[in-house]
Amino acid sequence: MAVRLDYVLKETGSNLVRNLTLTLASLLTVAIALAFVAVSFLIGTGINQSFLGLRSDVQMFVYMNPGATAEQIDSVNKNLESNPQVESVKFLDKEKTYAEFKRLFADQPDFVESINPEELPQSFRVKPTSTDADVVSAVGTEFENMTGVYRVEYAEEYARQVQKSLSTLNSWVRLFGVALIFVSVLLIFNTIRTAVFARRREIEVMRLVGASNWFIRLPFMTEGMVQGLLGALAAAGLTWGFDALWKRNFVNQVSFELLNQIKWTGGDLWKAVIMILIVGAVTGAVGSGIAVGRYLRV
Amino acid sequence: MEFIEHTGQETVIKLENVSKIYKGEHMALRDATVEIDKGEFVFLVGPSGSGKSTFLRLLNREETAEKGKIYVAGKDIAALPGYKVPYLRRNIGSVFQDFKLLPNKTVAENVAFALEAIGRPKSVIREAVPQILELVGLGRKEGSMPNELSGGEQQRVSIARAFVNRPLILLADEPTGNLDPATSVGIMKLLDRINRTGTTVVMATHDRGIVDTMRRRVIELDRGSVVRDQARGVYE
Repeated sequence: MAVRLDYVLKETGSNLVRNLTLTLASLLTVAIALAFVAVSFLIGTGINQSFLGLRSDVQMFVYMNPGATAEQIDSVNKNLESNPQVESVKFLDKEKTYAEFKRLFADQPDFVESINPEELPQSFRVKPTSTDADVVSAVGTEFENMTGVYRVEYAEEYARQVQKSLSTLNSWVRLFGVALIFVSVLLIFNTIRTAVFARRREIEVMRLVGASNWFIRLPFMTEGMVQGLLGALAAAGLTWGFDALWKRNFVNQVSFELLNQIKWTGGDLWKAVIMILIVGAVTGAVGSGIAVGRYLRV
Repeated sequence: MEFIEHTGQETVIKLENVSKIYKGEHMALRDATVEIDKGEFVFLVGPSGSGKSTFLRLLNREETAEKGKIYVAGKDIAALPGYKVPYLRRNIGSVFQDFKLLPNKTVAENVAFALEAIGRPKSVIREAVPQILELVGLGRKEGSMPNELSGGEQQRVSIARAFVNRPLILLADEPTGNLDPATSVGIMKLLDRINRTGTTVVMATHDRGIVDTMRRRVIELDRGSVVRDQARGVYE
């Protein structure tokens, strides 16, 4: 037996309107929960991307002795370039080092004056292939003991610290997101169960006259799906607002040192929105299918 | 339409040593054996709790029996898979003491709902609903809401809903229980008329006057047991 589409649409529409207050209440709660899910997804993504930014900056400095010979420099250079764990090497000779030195201490001209360019150590800026801080320090140790090398410095310390605090934050945000998806499912489920309870007489009559279980279930499922979708649409609006607010207040604002690192793209925003639309529709439909099930036992 | 076979005198309802036990101890029906032919009108009588409602609920598989076999139109209904139970119920109309009308639908919508729920096309519904409302004497009330109707009229709507699909069997559980005697007579006339179209009617009742006037087959239950089965019987 085919279920007539116009019947399902009519039932769905009239039930949504009939239980308007209930529908609105559930829409609002679902919207807020799903918006939290989307926002936690965006923040999680942003944190991960800030990782990538930090990781690509993990650099290593190999400082040569001021009196290092050209052969020593050349040997270190060759070793760096042939090392499979080194992506790129940049050599700063005395002039470049001095230029950089002047730039860094531009506000202290006396100090710059007092330094003889010949005394500055020449150095290599090394970008390792791996982003793992452990690999970086392993590469560094290798060069520490080469002749002519003064010492090796890492950007590692700072990076590790930030990495650690951000990954803690990230796992909390993820956990929060999962918890909120769970809450959304329960909310939709509960609303539909109330709606089903309000219509138990209709269900009873349907069963008595021999309506098939799917025929009874389907309008509830579309009703749940529409509710979930509407809630998700409202949540999408809230997410968009959050996105705009975040971008205006935090991103690239110097005064928020850690938060300004957390950014996401327009594509991530779309991903979040599509995700909550699907979660809303599916949990709405499945939740109401389950909620109505207990009235269908024959 | 797998249950409808309108051919001659045949058994449409058959109970063989049926027992229904609630919560492991209370026997609502005790070793009941009954045969009802097509087109019969049967009264189920007996005190409250004697098993009349259970008898009716077993027939459309709202309940299942712990012991014995129940056949409707020759089929062992216990053997029906769950998804086929709705098809059994399409051949059994049900009428109740409390009407079970949907308060937010008009008279016509209440009746149409029964046809919509089994997926009948709109054209059929448009034709069948006014026809059946005319039959039950509510031709002019199709747009009324249930709460605007008298008890007797509401019961007519519920009978229209039960009969609009022309079922093989009509089960009525105290259909006059909420109605005054004069109104009850009207309802019984309607059920009698439906019975004359060939529909088997099984009616549980406490109404001595009705049973004694109609003089139809009477099955008396007492604490779950069939204690009397009498053609053209009386209440006691």
